[in-house]
Formats: sequence, C-alpha cells, structure tokens
Amino acid sequence: MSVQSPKLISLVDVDRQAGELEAVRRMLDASRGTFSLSVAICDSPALRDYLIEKLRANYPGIEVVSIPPKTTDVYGLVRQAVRNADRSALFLINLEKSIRSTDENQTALRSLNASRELWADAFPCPVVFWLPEYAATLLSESARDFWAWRSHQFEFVSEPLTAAYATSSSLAGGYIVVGNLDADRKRFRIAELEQRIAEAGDPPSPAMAVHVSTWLNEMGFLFYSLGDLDKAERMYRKALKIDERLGRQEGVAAAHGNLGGISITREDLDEAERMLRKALEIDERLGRQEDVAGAYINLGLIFIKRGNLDEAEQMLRKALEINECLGRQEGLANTYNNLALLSMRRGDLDEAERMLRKALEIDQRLGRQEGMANAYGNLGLLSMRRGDLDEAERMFRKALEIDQRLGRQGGMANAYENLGILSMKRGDLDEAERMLRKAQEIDQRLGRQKGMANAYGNLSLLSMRPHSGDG
Amino acid sequence: MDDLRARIYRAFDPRPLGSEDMDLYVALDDVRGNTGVVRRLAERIYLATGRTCQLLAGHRGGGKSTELRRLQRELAEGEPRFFVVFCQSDDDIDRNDVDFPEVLIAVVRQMAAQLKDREGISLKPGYFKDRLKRLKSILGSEVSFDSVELDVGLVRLSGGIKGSPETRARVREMLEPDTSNLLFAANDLISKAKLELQKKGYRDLVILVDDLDKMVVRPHPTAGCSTAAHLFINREAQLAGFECHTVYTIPLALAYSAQEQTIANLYGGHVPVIPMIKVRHPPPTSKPYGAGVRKLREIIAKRLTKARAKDTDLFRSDQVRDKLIKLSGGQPREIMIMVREAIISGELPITDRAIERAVRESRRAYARQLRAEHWPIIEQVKKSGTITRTEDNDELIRDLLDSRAVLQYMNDREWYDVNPVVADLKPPTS
Repeated sequence: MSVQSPKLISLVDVDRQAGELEAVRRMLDASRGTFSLSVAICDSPALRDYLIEKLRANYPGIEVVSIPPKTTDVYGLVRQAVRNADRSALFLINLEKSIRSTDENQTALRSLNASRELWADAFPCPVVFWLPEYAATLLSESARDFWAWRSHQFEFVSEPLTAAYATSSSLAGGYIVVGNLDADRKRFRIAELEQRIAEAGDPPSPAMAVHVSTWLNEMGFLFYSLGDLDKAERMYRKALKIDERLGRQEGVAAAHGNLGGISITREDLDEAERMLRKALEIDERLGRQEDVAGAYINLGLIFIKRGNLDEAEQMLRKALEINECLGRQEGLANTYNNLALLSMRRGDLDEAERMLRKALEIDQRLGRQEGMANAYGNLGLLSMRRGDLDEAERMFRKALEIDQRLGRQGGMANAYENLGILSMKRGDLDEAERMLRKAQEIDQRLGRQKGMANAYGNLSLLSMRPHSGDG
Repeated sequence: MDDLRARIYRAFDPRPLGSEDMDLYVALDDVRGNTGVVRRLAERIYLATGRTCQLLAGHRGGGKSTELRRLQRELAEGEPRFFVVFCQSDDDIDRNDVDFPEVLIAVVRQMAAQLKDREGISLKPGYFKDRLKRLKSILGSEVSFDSVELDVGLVRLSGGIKGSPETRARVREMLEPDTSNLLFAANDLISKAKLELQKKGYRDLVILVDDLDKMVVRPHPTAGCSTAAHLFINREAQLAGFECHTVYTIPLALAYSAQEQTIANLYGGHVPVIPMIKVRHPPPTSKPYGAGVRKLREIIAKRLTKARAKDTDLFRSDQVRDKLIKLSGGQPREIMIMVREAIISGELPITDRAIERAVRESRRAYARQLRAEHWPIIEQVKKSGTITRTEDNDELIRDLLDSRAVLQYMNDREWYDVNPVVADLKPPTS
C-alpha cells in the first residue's frame, strides 16, 4: 500500500479526513487489550499533538512515548521507556528524528524490522506510530516486514508549507517588480495592460506581437498572485497562442512553465509535471539555463508534494548548481526556500532553518517582498514545530502583513491556516476557528482544493471540542 | 583671432558629424575597403522578424560615429520608418569603469529624453520607481521619481554614478543582483514606447549606443578577463536583452582579440569594422595611395567650403596639405586635430613647420607610452604590414591598437601599418 498523498485532493477527501479521527477511535475500541500495529501519518507536530490530546481525553490510559533523536534500537528504547502496564494504547512519536532519507544505513528502521515479532508479546494493546509522510515512506521501503505487520493506516492533513515557485523568464526577471506591487497597484496595472493590448490591435503588428505576449504573461502572473487562477490560465494560454504563431520557442516554453505553476497550485501534479517537462525540454534545447533552473525548482516542488524526496533533492540540486553558476539571486532564493521545505519534510529542522535564512537574506537584499513572505511563513512553521509558539506567531503575522499588502490571496490563506493551527495548539479554539474560517473563505474563493481540505479537516476537529458545560 | 581663422578653426571640429552636418559627409567605403557597413547594418534591421543586436568596431576617430549617424538617418528617413535613439554613452558613463547597469541607465535615460524631445512621448518611471527607490540610502534625495518624469529622475542618478567612483561602486553593488529586474523595467518602457511610436507610423525602435568603443580596456578585477570582454561577452545576454534593435560600438582591440570567434558566435557574425582610410599601400612598398589621398582632400575641401575659405587660405602649398594627410594615417579626426593645432601655432596659411609642431607633442606622448616589448610588433608591422598573434602578445597588440600606434586597414585583405607619427620614433636603447 502506497503512502503517497492523493494526486488531487477532492472534497471527497475532506470527508475522509474528517472521518480519520473517528476511525482511530473505532480502532482503539476494537483493539482494546489486543496488539495491533497502526501508522498515523501527520506532517504537523502541532496537529498531531492536538489529536493525541483529544484522543487521550476520551481514552484514558493511552501512553505516549517520544523516541529521542538518533535512537537505533527503537524496540529496546520503548521497552525501557514505558511506565504504565495497564495502558490502553501505546502512541509512539518522533521516530522521524532518528531516520533520514539520506541515511543509507537506516539503522533504526533495520532494527525495527528485525524486532517486528517482539512487539506483539511486549505490548498487548494498540500501538500507533505517528509519523510525517516522508518517514512513513521510508518505513514502508526500509522496514518492509515491519510495515507488512501493520493493521491500520490513518492520514491527517497538515499545515500548508509556503512553496516558492520559479516564474519563467517570460517576465524576463520581472518577478520582483511585478510581485512587489500592492494589491491596488496590481489591479491598476492589469487595467493598464488591458488598455495596451487593446491599442496594439488584433492581431498585433509583428513588432508588437512579442510585447503583447509579454503583457499577457505579466497579467497572468498578476491574476495568479491575486489568486484568480482561471483568469491567470486564460492569459497564459493566449500568450502561448501568440508565441506558437510567431514560432517563438522561448515564449512557448515560458507559457508551459507558467501553466505548470498554476497546476501545482491546483494540486494537479500530473498535469503540472507534463507542462514543466515540456518547458524543460524546450529550454534545454535553446540553452536557456535560467528557465531550465526554474523548471527544476518547480519539478522539485512536485516531488516534495508527492513525498518523493530523493528525486526532489536531485531536481533542486540541479537548480542550485545552475543558479549558482549564473549568479542568479532570485533563482537561488527560490531554490533555498524549496530545499528548506525538503529538509522540513525530512525532519531536519536545523538545515531547513539554514536554507530559509539564506533565502531570506537574498530576498531582503533584493527587496523581494513575495520571497520574504514565503520565508517568514516557513520560519513560522519551523518555530511551531520546535514549540516556540510566540516566535511562530510573530513570523506568521509578518508573512500575513506582507501578503495582505501585496494582495497575495494564497499566501494569506496559508498564514491564516497556520495561525489557526497555532491557536489550536495554544488551546485558544475560538481564535483557531476564526483564523481557519478566514483561510477557508479565501481557499473557497480561489478554488484551492488542498487548502479547503485542510481547513475543513481542521474545522471538523474543532467541532469536536467540548463546549462550555460539557465537563 | 581674425574672422577667417575663426571660421576655419570652427569648421575643423574633430567631433563626429551630427545628423545636421551631413553636408560635410564624404562617402569613404571604397577607400576603406570594407564597403557598405551602414547598408549591411540597416539590412539586418529591415529584414529581421524579431529584434537584432549588432556590434560595430573601428579606430577612434576613424568615422564610427559618423557612420552611425548615417545609419540613424537611413533608418529614420527610409520606408518603413524607424525611431532611432542615438545614445552617446559618454554623457552618462565614466569610460574608465563601465558595466551593464550603467549602460542600461544611460540607454533608458537617453531614450526617454529623445522620445520626449522629438515625438512628445513622455515615459513615466513605471517599475523603475520601485527598483531605484532603494538607492536613496546611497544618493539621498538626489534620486526621486515621486513627481518627476523618467528622464529627469535618471539624469540625477546617472550624474551620481558618473561623478563619483565610490558612489558608482555602491550603486553597482546594489543594482548588480537586480539586473534582470532592471532589464524587465527597461523593456516595459520600451514596449510602451513602441506602442506609442506605432501610433505615429514608426515600424519599430532602434537604439544606437556609441562611445562604448572608447571604454578603457584593462584586466577586470574579478572576472578573469578584460573589462571589455566582461561587458561584451559575459554580459551579452543583457546587452542583447533590450526588446528592440540595438547596435553597440565596441573597442577595436576586442574585435581583433583572441575572443573574436566567441563574439562572432554570440552576436551572429563577425563584427563589422570601420577601418582607416588607406592613404598608402601596405609595407614594404608603402607608396602613396592616390584614391585615399583624394578622398581626404575632399573632406578638407568640404570643411573649407563651410568656412567660406579656399585651400590657399589654409595651406601654404598642396605639399603641406598632402603632408598633413600622410601624417594622419587616414584618420579623418587626426586631420581636424592637426589643422587646429597648426592654426594656433602660427599665421595662416600653415606651413610644414606648423605641422611639425602639431605632431611633436603627439610623438612625445607615444614615446612615453611605448615599452620595449611593444617594439618587436611595431618592427614587424613596419616590415610586413602584418601582426603575428601569440598567446603572450594579445595584450600588447591590444595596447598598440587601442593607442593607435598601429592602425588597421582593410582592403583586399586585412593589414596593418605603423601610425606615421610613431614611424620616426626609435626603440628605447637599453
């Protein structure tokens, strides 16, 4: 059974997510006093801790053991760490800190695999490993026998990471200048470009056609930034048509790259990969290294989303090499940001922070507001995972402030959602609901399926909270 | 200075001919041997389906600027009609220290100014406002686009960049990582300009960037190549990145360096060169070349006509005139300079002696510049009219061409001659 996330999250998945907690409850009932092995996949420690708290409130006797970093003998460690012989269930957390996808030996997983038969005798109760997605993938690959023993698998949606997309050079480096416009100026600029396109005529003269294509691409980026993906797509497709007519291959590649970016946001990863591979093929043929690097950055993101972290790293390292060679600062910032996402998925928070600080330093130097918002949002997630909720909030609010100014709807939805999860973590459930509803509202307006799924999932958890007087 | 002297002095202005001075123009293609450079540059622009980026090389004072002015006129007055920006980069750039950000600022400023002056098209700062406001920390309130038009705001910026090496270094450090965004901002202005120009019946926009050939060529502090190679090779993607037709002048020494083939590959062909006018045959015969001498006489005659003067007003004899032509080595600007020097050294008409005085200072300057290691090359040129390039002598050849101690000609073949001013010098004795 694969643990890869679904390729396209639909609203059916939302219902499933809301039902996962109920499934855990049913498992705990059914397996009481009997060994069963389960894996609960959750990328967010905050959400994981919240869920465990909820379950413990209803099921007394659940014992939680945190596995320290660099543990090699997981079974031995747990045997020594357990305190309560009458436990109703055993929840194991933080195994990911002892495993890395880059570790070829995978000592912890190999010892886990070897110890599989011992668990049933030692723990006659439900045993649940809470793991982030990448660690579950490693478990399935490197501890196959142990994995085969599991009876159940539960999946919980996690907080949104803010990815950095590389825009193609159809904007010829204009990503910063266009991205930095505040929301009102973005609208004014769209109106100005519409006017220019009308004045250029239909069809535009040969001398103007290339500019019309550039303006359409810029409008696509502006609509994308403002969260109107459908209009963004329409603009990119119009630009594509012009460039195909002109035989302008670099424009054709750029449009494919930008359409790929839209598909990533829509979580249609297969379509995104198809578009990006097409862009990559043309850019490589033309020797357009800047855009080749951009395609690798976005392909890396797709692989991160699919949980294929090694392949993601390969892509991002290629992007890094090209951007370093070209000295292309924006490209480097985007690459560092996505390498940070990769490290976060692997649980290497120190490396993730190092990457994010590098991205932030470049973005600040360039005055690149969008990049700064991305970095602040992801630094907030790092702090939340480390348990520093005040710092996390400070970072989320900095990201939110920039995204609000720029009118970046997607970024705002991410920030609200992360602030909601943070409030859940603090136990301020009313504030959590307020934030999550804001995120949900934006995601609904944008048609962001994954965002909606996250928000619905988290709100459904909140709906289970005890109301005042419930005792 | 009496009226005749003043008129002649003014007529022999060594500056390149402006578009209003075309009555002074003499077609020199046939005595340069590299015929139709302007025609070929224009044809590439006429026939292109997209934008073009071309280079033009030649000795200083050899007529590049004049030929660029001709190109401007041909494109602006022909059918279809182009709007041609003539960018004199020296106005905005310190030739001792040039890199792409300054070229970009110069191009945008002069484009904005010429669009406003000639067609009443006023460009707004647009995206430059956002990118350049970060420079306030360096230039203070000197740079502001809040209430001014683009060309006005950029005058202040380019003044700051050109005037102070320290300011330039800091501005460059800040702009350097932002180059692609600045180029995007420039192209947004270019696209807007083209839209407006189209309404006025122009087919497209052409930017001619003069004076970059005069940039001081020396080892680049970090790039591991010469400053010229850094600008024209490493920065090719940016120089060719303006969304319109561009022509840049480049140092002759770069066009004839070991990187010649790289440049040809990057810019789509060998760099057209405006060579010196042939006034004598290649060594070892070095006999006078009548056709070239006659062309230079024609140039002198047109200047004298403009000054309402005759040959005899300026020269004591035809021999004096032809001696001056010979000493010029076929460089029209040198004729202008020597005439002016001679005018101020004595009475009119000028004599052999006055000409000798004019070249004396120049000869001393060369004597100071030339080092022992230059002389084997000079001796080879004197004897054979050729240069043998080796891995070690590229920089020495660059020095000689750059200083015009050696002049390059192009007739049936490419050949070289020693500048007549240098020819009488002797190698330093050890």
